[in-house]
Amino acid sequence: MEHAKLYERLAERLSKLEKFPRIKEDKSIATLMEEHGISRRDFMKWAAGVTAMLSLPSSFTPLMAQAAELTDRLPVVWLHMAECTGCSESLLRTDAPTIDSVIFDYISLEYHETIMAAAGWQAEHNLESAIAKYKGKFILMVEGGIPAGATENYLTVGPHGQTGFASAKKAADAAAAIFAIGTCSSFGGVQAAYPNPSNAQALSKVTSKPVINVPGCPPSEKNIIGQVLHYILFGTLPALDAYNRPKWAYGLRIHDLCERRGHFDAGEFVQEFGDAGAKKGFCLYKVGCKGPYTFNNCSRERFNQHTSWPVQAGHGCIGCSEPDFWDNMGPFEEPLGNRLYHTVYGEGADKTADKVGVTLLAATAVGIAAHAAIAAIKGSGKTEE
Amino acid sequence: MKITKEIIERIEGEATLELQWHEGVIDFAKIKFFNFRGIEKILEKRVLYDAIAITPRVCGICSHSHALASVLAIESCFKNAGDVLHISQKAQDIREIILNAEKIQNHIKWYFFTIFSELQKLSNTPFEGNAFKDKAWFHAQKAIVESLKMGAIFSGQWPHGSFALPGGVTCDPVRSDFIMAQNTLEGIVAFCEEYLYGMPLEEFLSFSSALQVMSSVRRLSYGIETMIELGFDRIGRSHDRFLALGDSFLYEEPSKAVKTTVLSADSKHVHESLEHTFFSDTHKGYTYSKSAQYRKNYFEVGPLARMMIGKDVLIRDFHRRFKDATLTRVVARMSECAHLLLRTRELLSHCDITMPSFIPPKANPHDLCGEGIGIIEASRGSLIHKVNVLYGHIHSYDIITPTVWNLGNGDKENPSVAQKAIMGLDSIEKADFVFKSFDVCSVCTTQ
Ligand code: SF4
Repeated sequence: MEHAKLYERLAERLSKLEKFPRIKEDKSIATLMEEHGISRRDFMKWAAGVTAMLSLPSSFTPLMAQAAELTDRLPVVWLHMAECTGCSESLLRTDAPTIDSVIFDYISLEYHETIMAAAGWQAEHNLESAIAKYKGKFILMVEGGIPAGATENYLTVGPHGQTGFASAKKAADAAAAIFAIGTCSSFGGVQAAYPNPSNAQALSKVTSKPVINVPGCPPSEKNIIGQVLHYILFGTLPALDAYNRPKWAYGLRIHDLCERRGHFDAGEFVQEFGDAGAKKGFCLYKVGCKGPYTFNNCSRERFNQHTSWPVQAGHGCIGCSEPDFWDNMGPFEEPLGNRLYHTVYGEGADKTADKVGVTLLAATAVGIAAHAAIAAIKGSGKTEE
Repeated sequence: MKITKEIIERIEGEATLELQWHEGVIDFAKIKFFNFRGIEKILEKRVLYDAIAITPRVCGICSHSHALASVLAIESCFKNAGDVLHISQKAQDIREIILNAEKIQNHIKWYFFTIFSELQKLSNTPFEGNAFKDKAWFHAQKAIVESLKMGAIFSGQWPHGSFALPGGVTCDPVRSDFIMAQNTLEGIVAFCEEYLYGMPLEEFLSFSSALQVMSSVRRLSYGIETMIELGFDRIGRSHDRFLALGDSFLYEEPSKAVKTTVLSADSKHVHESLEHTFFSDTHKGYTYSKSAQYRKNYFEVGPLARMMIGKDVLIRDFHRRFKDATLTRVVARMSECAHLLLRTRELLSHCDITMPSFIPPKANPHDLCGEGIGIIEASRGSLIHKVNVLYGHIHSYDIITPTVWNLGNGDKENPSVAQKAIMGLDSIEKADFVFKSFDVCSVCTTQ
């Protein structure tokens, strides 16, 4: 029943959106798909995938397809701040390069240039014209941390040397919806790690409007595209967690759906990289996996066309979609509960566990460490050579 | 004297060229990068191994090169402390496969998205319509995506995989992983043969003369023809000095070359300078990018340097005809791409999966003291990581990226590699293209 109502509401929203003019009058997304030889069948398959990812029932697939075709009503402006460009490069990991890039190319006005991370004049020019033409209607996506205060000029863009801070603020003021793409833009990221030399800040510190965070270093390309479609479909903020992350993507921990989870529960751990347990694909907790403290869907969605993800490649999760993970989750090859020495932030094991606890997880952190310890005594001793 | 300011677009990040003109000719160029994050500073006092996770974030385009450079730097710390790590041939092969995947995608991306479309803009003989809108663009994108996938089979993801540690690699691939990687690679090879070279890789790699490359009407030969038409066979020349400090299958040992004379080189002669940066002088400085020199001279790094040092016959033929002009630089990169494809094919088929992936160091990294240096030949050239470690913590960390070699700032009397290539040109369009022929990336130039 509830689903039927939701379906109706979304269908209504889409039919309203359909009345909006297209970004480019002469071409629709649908004709472009056709031109690029994307069959209806492939397209529907793709739509079904996105529907499942957003945790919607499969009966919503036609709506998703329609939403994708209506992306041509909503322009996206992509801004680059202090960053490594890894977030936009992340889009190159997509399963369906043709479909995704047809959509992105169309809606982000100059996507082909964006993938080459063209900031500067082009971005400023796009921004100016987008603001003039689509004020209050465009989706703003920002990649990178934003130097603020006395070090604001550690990042300037464009011919007038405008600071990153000023241009992000200007864009945010005129946007309909604001997405922070990647951990840098969501929480400050690597440049905001201690001692934060450039005083890099999260996008949410630059504007008073609500910012949807899509963190990850880099973020999953699926989460980026999913969030765009979610917005088109719903027109509202998605259900968010305490850090403004959409719950459809960041609702579960890496650990919850991890392929090595069975080994964790059985107390079978890799004790040292390269040991027999590593060959057998045992759990990586004891060599530093932060999956139990990290909310994201990597274990389910993986990367680079579903090929792999860090845990599959034998290294633990480093917690890259959590706030301040650079300062809280290291050392990355040691479990949190097992910290051996004082670090740059001058804390020992317990304090750090507390700090992670602040990020929702005190009980989990202690519990996990205890489980690992007990399970190790109970079980894994036997299996090690 | 007239001074103009040019923002360079469609590169990784943003750069500004400040051009000083004299009688219609560029007299001097200042290369400016206006972003700074302070990664080296952030690394200080952290646990040594954190560098392996943090340094890839210097650059999302060559993140795996950074990961590997930091691993090599730490391995050299172990060695200097008396623990010589044995890295199995398998682990070395996997590292190289991952690195090659990153370079292959970079080279394809650079040619199809930057060089090719720039040439389209500059020339009046368009190639089968619009470079960006024609289907080849989508095929190129697919090849890039596939290339990244091939690497990710071993690295877990791209960019920013955590796959290597001092002692080897963390993955333990099985036969079927290699088969998947081989199939993926063959798809990329097919794309390159069809759209880029217009002939089988082996045939292309057997060439010894520039004229042979021109014989097939594909995007590479179109690019060469257009560059000749536009005069890029005569301009964009720099010092004709080359440097490759990291290891590569293309040559025997790290070397330098002055013109065609190749001599062995040692990283101890590398000198990094803060001149012209905001760090050395907040008022007179004009960029956040450092510069690097070898024995007080500017040297070009990157594919052209590697091919010259490797005495590649084809590139030497281009060099004989055109010296280190823009044309030679572009062809060198695309020719390296062919070598990389073939080399990766070999690695994938010969890798012995029965070997261990990882052999842990004997010494405890938390007790480690001393210095280490790691050098990787990344897409854009020699990438150097230097670390000074004190009881397992980073005391200082120094990163010299390839773009710092090519795109630093000297002065009029002793200009940097890119400055020298730009000086003497008579139009902004030419300067823009010559500049881009170095495959510019601003994020890693400044970090
Ligand atoms: S600790 Fe890490 S490797 Fe182990 S089950 Fe959890 S997420 Fe997977």
